[in-house]
Amino acid sequence: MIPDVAVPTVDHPSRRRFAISPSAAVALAWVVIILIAGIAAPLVAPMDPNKQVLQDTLLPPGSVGRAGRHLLGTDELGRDIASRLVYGIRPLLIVITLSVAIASLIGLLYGLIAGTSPRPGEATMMRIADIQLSIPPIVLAVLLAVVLAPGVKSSVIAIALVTWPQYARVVRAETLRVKTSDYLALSRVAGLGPLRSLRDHIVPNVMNTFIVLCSLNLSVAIIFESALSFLGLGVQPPTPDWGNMLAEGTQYLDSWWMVVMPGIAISLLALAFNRLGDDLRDRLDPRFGTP
Amino acid sequence: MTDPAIPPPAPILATVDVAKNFATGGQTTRAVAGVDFELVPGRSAGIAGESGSGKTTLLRLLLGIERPTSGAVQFRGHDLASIDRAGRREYRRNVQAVFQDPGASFDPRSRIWRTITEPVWMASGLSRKQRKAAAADLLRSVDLPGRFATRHPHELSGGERQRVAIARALSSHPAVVVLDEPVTALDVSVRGSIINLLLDRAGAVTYVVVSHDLTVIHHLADDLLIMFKGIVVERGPTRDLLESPKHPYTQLLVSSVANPLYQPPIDRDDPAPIEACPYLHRCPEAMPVCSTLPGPTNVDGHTVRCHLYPDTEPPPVPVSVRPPSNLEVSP
Amino acid sequence: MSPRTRAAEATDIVLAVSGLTIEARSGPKAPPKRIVEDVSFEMRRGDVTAIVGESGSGKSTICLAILRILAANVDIVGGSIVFEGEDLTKMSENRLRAIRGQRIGIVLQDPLSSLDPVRKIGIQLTESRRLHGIDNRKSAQVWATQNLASLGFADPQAILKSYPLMLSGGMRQRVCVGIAYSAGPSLLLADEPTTALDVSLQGRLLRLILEQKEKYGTSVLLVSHDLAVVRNVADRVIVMYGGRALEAGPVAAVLGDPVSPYTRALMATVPTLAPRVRTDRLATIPLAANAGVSDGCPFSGRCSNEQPRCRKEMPPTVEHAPGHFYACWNPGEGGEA
Repeated sequence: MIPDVAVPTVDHPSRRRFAISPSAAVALAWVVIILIAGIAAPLVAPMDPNKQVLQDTLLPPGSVGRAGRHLLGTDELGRDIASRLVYGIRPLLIVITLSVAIASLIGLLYGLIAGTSPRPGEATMMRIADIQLSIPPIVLAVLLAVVLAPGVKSSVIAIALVTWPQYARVVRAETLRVKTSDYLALSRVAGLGPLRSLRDHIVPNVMNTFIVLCSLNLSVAIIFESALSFLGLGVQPPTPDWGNMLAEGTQYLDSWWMVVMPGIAISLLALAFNRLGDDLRDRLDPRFGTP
Repeated sequence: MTDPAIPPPAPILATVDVAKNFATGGQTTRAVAGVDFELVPGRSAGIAGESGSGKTTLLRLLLGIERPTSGAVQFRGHDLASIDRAGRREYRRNVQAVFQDPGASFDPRSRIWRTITEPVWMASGLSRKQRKAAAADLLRSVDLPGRFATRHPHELSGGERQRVAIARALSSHPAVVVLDEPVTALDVSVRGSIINLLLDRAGAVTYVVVSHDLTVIHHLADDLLIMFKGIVVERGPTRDLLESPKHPYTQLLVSSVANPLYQPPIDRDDPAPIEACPYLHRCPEAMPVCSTLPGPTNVDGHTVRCHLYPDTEPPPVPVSVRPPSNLEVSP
Repeated sequence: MSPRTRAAEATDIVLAVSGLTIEARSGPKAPPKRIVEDVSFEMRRGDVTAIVGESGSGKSTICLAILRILAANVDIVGGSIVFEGEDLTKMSENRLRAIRGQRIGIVLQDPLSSLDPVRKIGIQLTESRRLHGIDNRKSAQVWATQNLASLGFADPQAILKSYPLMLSGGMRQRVCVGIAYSAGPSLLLADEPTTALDVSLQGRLLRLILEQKEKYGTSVLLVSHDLAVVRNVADRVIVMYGGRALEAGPVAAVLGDPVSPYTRALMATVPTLAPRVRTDRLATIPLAANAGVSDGCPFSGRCSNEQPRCRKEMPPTVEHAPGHFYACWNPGEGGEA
């Protein structure tokens, strides 16, 4: 039997809405910093990322060269790594936001339609999504790089194509969960038609999980984008990008900073988005968090 | 009993030989197998049965959230399958429901004021402001404070939520409220007040109460239908049925409620063949003729499906459930 | 025979719970909540004692406490549970393991989740006996076949080889009863054993519990919210509310002529098949005026006999008649201010 007690409002997480845990605060701060740095790259970066100073190649972090102090060192062409990292934020942000936006929108619509369709239609739709999922991502990316020149555009399309089915599956599952719920049946009894049900009940209840998935996928997209550039299928050098900086660095492993700096940058940002995704999930479900 | 010269009031809800089958993993289950049911305004009905009896499916058919496999569900004489838009609106305004689990009956993301006014909003088209005001009134009508309107469902206890569910069902002033196990999920000390709440409103509304608990039906319903494996085995005024049950299954149920240690005479689980009386394997009075399904007969005012009561006279068919006059009707 | 068993045999008391107090912590910062407070009762060999209460009364927690299988955030903070002369609250995990399943058995509410869906019935039924060294695999088979017959199964061989999902709910619960009794325990705990079953199956299961009890000489502690079941099955009953025992005694006395206002209110509010008139209303117990922990009686705020001191101070337990106890400042017949 259900105990006849309400969840006491004092313990209720919506009161905690304005309190943020330390790790989430740090994650949020880091994301904001990166965002600002990326948008205001010319103002934030200490030097010109593409300026080659051939006398100052492979300087370790902290060294002072002809152009000034290199906080994170220089690469094989004497370019300042810190500045390249800052400028590398832009293509990364473009790729991850576009790819997540495109994939999530497609996935959301697809999942909602599949979830509200009768069995045969829904089954067909999900089989298509499954087939899409079975295509190896790197193969797809290579194909796209061949068809459209490798770069930001091909990265966005590759990531979007590979990840949309995931959204579709989750959205469809949530849609089904709401569709078979008691409260939706009661809404039908109250007289709500299919469109109103969708607007008032299905979409709001699906949104939680969807939003969390988006934020977690931003983290995945960062890794994905960097991997694509690392393999030469994404942003092409000399345009700075964390992934292709990592690739260049593998040829100069004695100059560890060439690999470690972009590596740390990638990891930290992915972690930050991950942490934010977790925090968002805790906040969005009104009942989550209470024992 | 009733004077045959005065026709009974027209049924507001009815089923005509309605059946519902479910296909699960290759097998077809007959949840409801040919049920004739009429709900007359002013006489609340209780539908009792155990798991697998089909009572929940029948309830869902009455509410139009399940389509019959065969047969018809009628609202004021109109078949729900072919009702027009205006008719559907009337139907939705007049037939509301309260479900068993107060936790699952509420959209967790909607505040109470939205949920509690959904039926009246759909029926009368209220503005947002009007809905909030109506919500406060509805809450007070079930002895809950108006400030609950802005809360989320999980901030209320189970008993409080069930009160809200009842207020919601009554919000459009329906003719019928269908209740599925209205107090089963609640603490024992709270059940009495919910039953009273329903009794207080029984003048304006006719209830259909579905429950496995005969004591709840005893308090809320004038007529009682006993279901077993998809068919109605006995039907009649509640008190008569409880005092002198005719069908062996009804007798078993009443005995079990009266005596918790009552042991049914036959312990068998396997289902009876489709053409037979579904109670065949568990019935202490089973006879060879029970391998065919008995038709309904009238015994002392109860309608019973049992070969123990040979076909004397079929129960009278209410006026509005008869087929339209342009078809041949055999005498 | 060890001094412990000699002492236990002499007094014939199987279980003696004394001042049992249990707390639950819902978070590192939140204050712990008392879910059972100062509960004491005794059970002799062959007794059938029922604990009646609603959700939140603490009744199921007591069963789990006896077996020491409480959740991680729930602790026994006071009192003792003496089973056959040994205090379970102070026992080592090793010793507890020897007792669980062998000397104390339990039947839970939901037969579906009580059984492992991927193992055959035969294995699960004999698990306890094999674990405690009563049987080896071969003798366990023989025992199981006989046992299933005594549990009322017409075809034991078929059942032995079946998986739980192949059985109906009633059959599964009978298997659970069989498992609980399999090693011949001195004490059987039954937590709402019939609540999940159809009412027509209830009688069979309750009778089974009583029959097996006679066979093994087991004492039964039955937890239920259903007064009708308690009246028909138990010898003694303890009425709990909000973690406290408000009344306890022989079933006929407590349910026939209750002293505690809570027991009286509960009996008056439960719907029955008694003849009624259309306008009859059930007596109701008002919802709590304020939720909150108080040092007083947990029923304060809902009690028709309430006095000002009820909320401040918990009444002591008083013996009304031999073996019939209650805790109430004002047990008189209704409404005295």
